[in-house]
Amino acid sequence: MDYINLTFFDLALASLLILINGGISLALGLGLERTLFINTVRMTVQLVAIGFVLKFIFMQTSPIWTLGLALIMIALAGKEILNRQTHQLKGVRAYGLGATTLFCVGFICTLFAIFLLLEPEPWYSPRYFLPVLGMIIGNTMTGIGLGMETLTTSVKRDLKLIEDRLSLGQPRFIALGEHIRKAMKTGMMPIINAMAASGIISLPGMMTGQIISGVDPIEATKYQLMIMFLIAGGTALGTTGGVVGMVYLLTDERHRLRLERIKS
Amino acid sequence: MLEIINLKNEIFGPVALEVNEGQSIVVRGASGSGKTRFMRAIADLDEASGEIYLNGQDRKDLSAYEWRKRVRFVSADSNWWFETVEEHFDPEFELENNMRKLSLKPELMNWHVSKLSTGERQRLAFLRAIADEPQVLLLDEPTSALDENSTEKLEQMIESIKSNGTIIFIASHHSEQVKKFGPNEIFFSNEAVEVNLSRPEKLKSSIK
Repeated sequence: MDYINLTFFDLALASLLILINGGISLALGLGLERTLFINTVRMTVQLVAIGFVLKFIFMQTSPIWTLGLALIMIALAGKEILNRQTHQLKGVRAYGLGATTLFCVGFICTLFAIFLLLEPEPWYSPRYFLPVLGMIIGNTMTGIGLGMETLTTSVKRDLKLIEDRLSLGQPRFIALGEHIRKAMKTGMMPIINAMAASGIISLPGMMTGQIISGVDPIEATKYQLMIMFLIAGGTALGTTGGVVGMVYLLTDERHRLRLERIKS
Repeated sequence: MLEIINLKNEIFGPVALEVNEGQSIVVRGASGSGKTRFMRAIADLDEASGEIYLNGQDRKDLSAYEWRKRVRFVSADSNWWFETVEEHFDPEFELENNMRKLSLKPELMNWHVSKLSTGERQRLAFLRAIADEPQVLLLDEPTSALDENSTEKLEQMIESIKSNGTIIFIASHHSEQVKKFGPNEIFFSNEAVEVNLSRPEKLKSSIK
């Protein structure tokens, strides 16, 4: 495959565009220049570092390195889910729920793609395993996070209504039925909307990358479609896992609401 | 028979008592003294230690929702989840007939819940609570939003349910109502729970 190599000078030139950003912030008094500077440096360091890490891991082609990095990616994405919750649970419960769901969904979908669709040799070949896992957890974490967040917020708001339903003898999954459905919908909407937009409004990042690196556009499309199907399936599974898990964390085995488990 | 043995949590108790079918107990005490918490704990909506048996059956042996089908807590202010009143009721329940008994216009049942007055909602919430005939009713100030006439109608309905064997707990501040559903009463104060019963041989008392 042929593609044009970027020189460091090219990159330095591109980075000048950030200065425009900073200039606007200064001119309009937005106060963003400090954050902008820090985040630019952070992004550069992170990307360079992951570049070297990937280069190292690609040279190893060992299941331990591949799976090790996979676990680190999931652990960090789990933290990201937690950070997006306005009403976090006390203790490790909320992090545990997000990370466990992500772990199950990430591995189910990635192994499905690896063993049934891509079939690379060996199966743990990091070149396939890690990008596919990354795309899946990067997108499903949005669904999981949104689902959990929507459920907690609406249950907190409708506490009395739910207690009325519980006191009438409804089991928790019936008493919380409307709230569960709303949380599931909210979690799944972004990916459903993204499907409609992709190809017209946006050319997905992975597809763009493949085309630039010389892959035939039709082949790139096939990859992109596969990834979108995986993400859509993963989001449905993940949102269900996150929301159902959250129902268990917000109630107890006697079908009582336990909102004191939410940090005030 | 409802048997409560040393029911206790951080707000109230321990309380021990036995109530027979068709009996009523008035729950009295200042606001914040634990009346509501006590009744919620009987319905298993709040955590509490101790044991409760209904007709010899241990509460622990039933799932929480089966227990609440039998032991029903009715809060003073009601919440509704469907749009119209009617959707909240089983079609088999004689809603129209019962609404008339509480001087509610039958056309209310097709109304949007948000259009109802507080008093209308309170009476409808009572009907919603008795529709599947629970064996124990825990009523938290059931007439707090009602005028004299509606109060009387609702009290009549409580009386008739009671005479059919339902056990009634009623939290109340009205002396008339206390008289009507007394003389058995539980009095909550900040220091202790006092249980005053007309037939002490049947009903145990307890002091903190």
